[in-house]
This record gives sequence, C-alpha cells and structure tokens, in this order.
Amino acid sequence: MMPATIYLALRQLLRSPLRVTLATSAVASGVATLVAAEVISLSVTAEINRTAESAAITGFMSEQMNVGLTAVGLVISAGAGFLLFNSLSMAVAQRRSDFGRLRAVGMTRIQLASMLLFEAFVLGLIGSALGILAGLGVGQGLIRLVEATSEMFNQFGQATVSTERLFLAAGLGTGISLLAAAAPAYQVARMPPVEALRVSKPSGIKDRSRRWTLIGILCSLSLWVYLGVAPPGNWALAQTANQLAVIFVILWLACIVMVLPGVIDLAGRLSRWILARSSAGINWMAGNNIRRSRSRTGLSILSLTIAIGMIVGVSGFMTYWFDELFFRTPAKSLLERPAVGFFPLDVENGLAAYRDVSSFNLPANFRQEVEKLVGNKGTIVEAYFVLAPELSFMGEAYFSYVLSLEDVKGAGDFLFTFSYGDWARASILAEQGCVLFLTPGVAQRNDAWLEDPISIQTPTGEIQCTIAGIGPTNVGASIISASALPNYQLEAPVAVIVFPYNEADRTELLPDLEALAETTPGAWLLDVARMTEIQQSSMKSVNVVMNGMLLLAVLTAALGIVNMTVITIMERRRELGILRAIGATQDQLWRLLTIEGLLIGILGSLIGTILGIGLILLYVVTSAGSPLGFPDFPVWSAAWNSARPALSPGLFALLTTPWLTALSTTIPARRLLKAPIVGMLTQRNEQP
Amino acid sequence: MGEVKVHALESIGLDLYPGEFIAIMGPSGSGKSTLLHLLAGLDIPTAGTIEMGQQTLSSMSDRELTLLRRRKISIVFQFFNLLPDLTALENVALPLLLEGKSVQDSHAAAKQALAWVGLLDRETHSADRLSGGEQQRVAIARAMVFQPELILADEPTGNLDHRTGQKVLELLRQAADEDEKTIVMVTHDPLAAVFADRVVFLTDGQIVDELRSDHLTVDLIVQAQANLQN
Repeated sequence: MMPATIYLALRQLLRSPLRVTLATSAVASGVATLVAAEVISLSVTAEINRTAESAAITGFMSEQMNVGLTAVGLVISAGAGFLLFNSLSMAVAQRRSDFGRLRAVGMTRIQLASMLLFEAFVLGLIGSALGILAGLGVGQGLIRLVEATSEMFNQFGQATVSTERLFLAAGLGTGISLLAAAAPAYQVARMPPVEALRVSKPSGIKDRSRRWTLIGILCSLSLWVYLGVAPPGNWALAQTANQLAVIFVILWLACIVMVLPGVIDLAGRLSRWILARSSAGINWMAGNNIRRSRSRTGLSILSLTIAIGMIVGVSGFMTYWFDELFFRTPAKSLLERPAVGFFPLDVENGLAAYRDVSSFNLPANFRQEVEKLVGNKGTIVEAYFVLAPELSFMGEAYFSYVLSLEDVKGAGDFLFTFSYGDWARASILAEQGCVLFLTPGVAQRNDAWLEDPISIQTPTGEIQCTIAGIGPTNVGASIISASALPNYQLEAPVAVIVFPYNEADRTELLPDLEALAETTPGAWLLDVARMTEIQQSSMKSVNVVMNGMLLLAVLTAALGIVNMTVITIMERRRELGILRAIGATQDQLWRLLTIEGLLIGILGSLIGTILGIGLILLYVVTSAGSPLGFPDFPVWSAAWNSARPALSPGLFALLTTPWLTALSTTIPARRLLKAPIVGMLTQRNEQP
Repeated sequence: MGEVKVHALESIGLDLYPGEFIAIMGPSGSGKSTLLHLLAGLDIPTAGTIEMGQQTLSSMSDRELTLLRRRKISIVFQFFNLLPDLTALENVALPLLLEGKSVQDSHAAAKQALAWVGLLDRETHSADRLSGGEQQRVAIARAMVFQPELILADEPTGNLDHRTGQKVLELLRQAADEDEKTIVMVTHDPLAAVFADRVVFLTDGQIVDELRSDHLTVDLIVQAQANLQN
C-alpha cells in the first residue's frame, strides 16, 4: 500500500498543475543546458579530432567550450534551485493550515517533511527527464544556428552525449530540487500545529534595517575606489591576479545582493512618487507592492540580475580575451608586417575543411621550397604544433609551438614579446639546450620563473628546458625551441608563415606564393590577418552558443517570475477582491499588475547590466593582461574597451526583459481578475 | 448524479429608502450575506431584479457594476478589509483615486472623512498598525468618502468588543440621520440591530418577519428571533 506521505504528496502535485509545470520547466532548463553543452562540444570534437595534430591544435576549443557551457548550465541549475526554493517556501506559507490539520490528526514532523521532500523529488525527476530531451533538442538547434551563421564553425560532427553526462544532469536536477526543498521541509517540521492552524494575517511593509544596504554601498565604493587607485593589473602576476579576481567577483556579487533590498525599496518609493504624479488612479500602488514583497521580488530580480549579468559579463569577457589579449600583439604586428601563411587545410572553409584532412602537416621540406621563392624579401617562420600539458595555456590540451629561435626573433612581436628577459640572454641559454618562451601564467603554474628549468614529457621521454623569456606569446601558446623537435619526432611543420619586409616585397612575392600553394597538394595560402579575423569571428560564434544557453537562464528567471506572480497573486486574491469591491475595474488592476511586472523587469535588467559591466571591469583591471604578461598594459582603457560592446546585450535586455516580466505577470493575473469578487474576498487555501 | 441546485434566496421583496437604516438578521445559511452581495452588485441573481433608482443592477455589465460600487454603493466588512500597507488616509482616498481624482483632492476629501470618524490624528498610520475599532472606523470613512447613496455593512461589529462596536454603530446611525444614507446591515447581534429603523428576518432564503418601530428594543428583537426558532 502506498504510504500516506507519498499519496498526499502526489495528490498535492496533481492539485497544482501550474506550479508543477513552472518548477519542472525550471529544472528542465538547467538539465537541458548541461546536456546541450556536451552535445555541442562533443560534436565539435568529433569534427576536428580527425588527426592527432588537429586534435592537439584545436582540441582545446571544444574542451573550453564544454567547460564554459557546463558552467552556464550549473548557474542555470542554481537558478532553477532558487525558483524551486521560492516556490516551495511560498507553498509552505500557503498550506500552513493544511499542515496544521495534518499534524492535528497525527502526522509526525518527519512524515510532514518527507511529504514535501518527496514532492520536490518528483518535480526534480520530471524536470530532469524533460531536460534531457530538451537538451538534445537545444544542442542540435544551437549547432544548426552556429553552422548557419559562423565562418569557422560551419560544420559539426556527429552529435552525441555521454551516459556520464546524462547521469550527472539528472542527478543534479533531482539533487537541486531536494536541496531547494530542505529549508521549507525543515520549516514545516518545526511548525507548531496550533500556530499552523491560525489564519495568518496579511502583512504590511516592514521598515527593515538599512544596515545591509549601507554595508553594500560601502563595500561597492571601497571596491571601486581601490580598483581605481591601485588596479592589481598594474602589479599582480597571473596567479595572484586570478585569485584577486575571484575574490573581487565574489565581493561584487555580495555587494549587489546586500544593496538589492535597498534598491528595491528605493525603486518602489521612487516609482510610487512618479506614478502618483504622472498618472491618475491607483498605479502608484505598484511601487508599494514591490516594496512589500521585497524578499520574493528580490529573489525574482536576483534571478534576472544573474542571468542578464552573465550575458553581459560573458560578452565583455570574450571581447577582453580575444580583442584585448589574444590578438593584441599579433593584430598590431600584422598591421606593420602583413604576413601570409601556408596551412595544411583551407582555413577559409571552417570546420568543413577538417572533413577531408588526412594529414595535418605541410609536405616535408616545404620550408625550403618557400625559401627559394622568398629569398631576401622576408622572414620565414616554420611552425610545429605539439601538445605539452605542462605548458598548456588553458586546461591540459592547449597547444604549444615548436619554433626556432631565429624564427621567433624574425617574426617580431607576432610570436613573442619580452616582459622578462632579453634576446641576448635567451640566445646564450639556447646554446646550452632547449629553451622556452612562456606567458607568466604558465611559468607560475610550474612554480618556475626566468632561467628556471622545467621538465616536459615528450613522446621520446622527459626533457629539461630552461625558461628564456616571459611575456605575451601568440594566442597564449607556449614556445618550445626547435632543439626539442627530435623528441617530438615531427617531420613536417603545420604552418609556414612568410613575413615580407615591406609592402613592395609582399606584392612581388604573393603571385609566386599563390602559385606554390596551387601546385602543392595539401597546402593552402592565407593572409595571416584574415586568419586572425576568422579566429576572432569563430570566437564570436562561441559567444552565440553561450548566449543561446544564457537565454535559457533568462527563461528560467522568467519562469521564476511567473511562479512568484502566480503564487503572490493567489495570496493577493483577497486584496484584489477588496479593490474590486470598492470600485476598481478589472482594467485598473490589470494595469497595476502590469506595472509591477515592468518594474521587476526594469530593475532586474538594469541591475543585471550593472552587475555584468562591473564584473568585466573588475576582472580586466585585476587581471589586466597578466595571463599573457603584457608589459605596460593599459588597464582601464582595456577595461572600457571590453565593457563597451557588452552594453549592447545589456541595452537589449533592458528593452525586452520588462515586457517579458510584464507578460509573466499579466497572464496569470487575467485569470484571477475574471473570478467572482465574492470568491476573491473569501479566504481560501487555493493552489496555483 | 447531477448537480443539486440550492436557492440561497427566494421570493424576496425588499424596498429601501433614503436615510433608512435596516438590519438583516437570521440564522447561519439563511441568505443574509447573499442578499448583501446581490445588493452590492458583487453577485448576480439568477432570477428577479434589483433596482437602484432608475438603474437595474441585474442587467448591468461588470464594469457598470464596478462603477456603481465605486460611486453609489459602499461596503463595510466584518474584517475591515483595509489594505495593510497603505496609510489610513490612502485607504480612505482609494475610491476617489480609482475614479481618477487628483491626489490632492482625494486626500483632502479623505481627511474630512477621517475627521468625521474621529481619526484624523491617525491619517499617517498604516492600516496594520491600527486597532480593530480604528480599522473599522477607517473602513466607514472609506465607505463615506464618495458620499454614496447606499452603505452595506456585513457584520460590522462582529470582530469588535462591545464598546468599540457601539461607536461604529453610532457612526452608521449618524450617516443615515445626518447624510440621508441608506444603511443595510447584516448582523447576528440584537444589540447592533437595535440601532436600525427596521429589522428584517431571513430564514431559508425568505423574509419571514419584519420589525419596524421608532423604538426598537433588544427585547423585541430577541423575542422575534426566538419566535423564528419556534
């Protein structure tokens, strides 16, 4: 026989279809993102891992994509947890007298708590199942979208998802649901039956302590004054900068959370003042209403804030990394010396080019062919790509270059710029054996600095190399001197790049180089500046995927608002009934609730944009080029440059979100406002 | 099994006149509240008509009924039904604000109404910080602020102690006597009904008795109630 707790829990869920739909949809969004993240990244991996070299060079992209998208999925899941917590807490408040009755007829505290936990478990389970299905669809949808819009990611491989990921997503969906139910279940278990049976009176606006708001404002001011006066980017090295960035991000989030109730209060007062003067009727009450339910409104606004803050933040983060860091010196260097390069695939063809690649190398001795054509009209760089986990710039799978010292020197700032060390000393070290040119972050990760040795595992065994220079390298990849080439058993380069000395040399060389590419199977000639452009645009495609995922976060936040509105409107039945009884028309109340929805949307998107812009600024001024080790990095100007493009999604959110939240508010309101007034005035325990 | 139809009220004929104070009494389930809701336009009768002057409530749209409630009919509830986060002044001003009157004009009229119920000194207090008696007086001020023709009171003293209840009833009496308002009050309490000009007794949805006297006494009302039970 079914235990009473399970029976009652299931019955309760069946009684509240709207609440179940909203809660399961929220869980499904989080689970879907986690599943879609892997579908997309495995699909990219499947396309590019056709040869060992291509995996080494580009494998990091799918790995980083997976990490980034999974992080987004985790944040959305946390948002779903928020929503569930909110929903269950409100349900507990509404079902107070039900719980009192159950306790009065003999249900134990544990049974009561188990009943609520079981409800959450079922919601999590349904949400996870729906999320897995939706995730496969979202993943495929985003793949198609990127394929259609991206130059680089124009063809994806077989879309799959691992069983581990499915279990992780489903486990997380149900786990978060249970976690969200823990506090409400505890609250229910502790509720004395007599108190629970009492009808709770609606509460007015409480004048809460402004202490937290003041602390939040002081915290924000101190943070920004400090970053303005002594930005860590000017003095901190990679590891310290990363740690400080994490601390500052947490501090900034905490400041926002502390200030939020005060901001809601102020916005409520301000909108009340404005509406009382600018419009007739009772629209001004909207200001009161968002102040009154500050904690619930706050949760909805916070969910929106985080979702929009992430969209804005990710957009700025991408600009910082790809425009201000990765391609900072290459782009400048290419303007001075516009290089052309030979590659083993048609990069212009994007991921589709990988389809027919059997070898990821140029023909052996190709450099000699190029040298014959170039003569004394330019410098040649022969680039080998290897996977050296010790030297990986990001994760374990980021590629490193193997280059001759002369090539690095000849390419000017394109491949490496010294922040620590110089060519004279580097040349002496190179005579003694393998040397490395690293970014400060990679050096620090190996607990090493200039002239320190680092052991590297190669296919032929371990080798010792010495750090000969620290500074920004091309796209962050470490540079190993060509003396290590035999250890990697590489016979042919992946790229041969020509840096003509001047424009006249370039014009003269181009037809011969093009002819060479045409007559050499497996070699394509491409302007390196164009290559950089393609790389930059491909990173923007990653942004499309990220934003697609983050829209799910906005959707989750919107579901949270619908959920909150439905429940608060149910709670406000009586209040709305009173207003109807004393002469408020349905339209007047509908307008009032719409304004409340708009206010929530405006606040959420505004604070979200501020949060996101703040995150970018503080991250840039704290890390300020330290991952790559740029000397004299223009800290604040890079920060503003990164933040400026991120204002567009912020502005977009500001223009669209209020309508979304207004819609989320008015749809459930319509239904209630059509109800008979006498019914609205009767205190009933109705579930949405 | 099909639905069973229950007639809350049947064959009711009741005329109300300006300045008249009527108490409606009867046991639980007799249809008192239903009658009040019909008079307020909160409910629509399935048969028959309710007329107010030249207007027929039963044929009005939801919007027309809403405007009628705002302008000509006011309701005073047992549980006051004030909005807790608004001040006493804002609660009283609400019907005028709903009408689209300016904040200044609405507040000025609300202050007069509050002064009439003796609560001008409480105008800035939020409703949830007022005592039960004060809340009911604010509710009466709200009912009076639009100078309606009809005030409907649903157990207005049901949630108050005797002394406070008496003050509330005096105010309703005063509204009938001095401002020519028609008052219809549902009550169980003979001590409240005694303030009325006429007491109508309902049982099973029908008017079964009526007391009309210039000198209604509690004894008379109690006797009539006892007769009903017999």
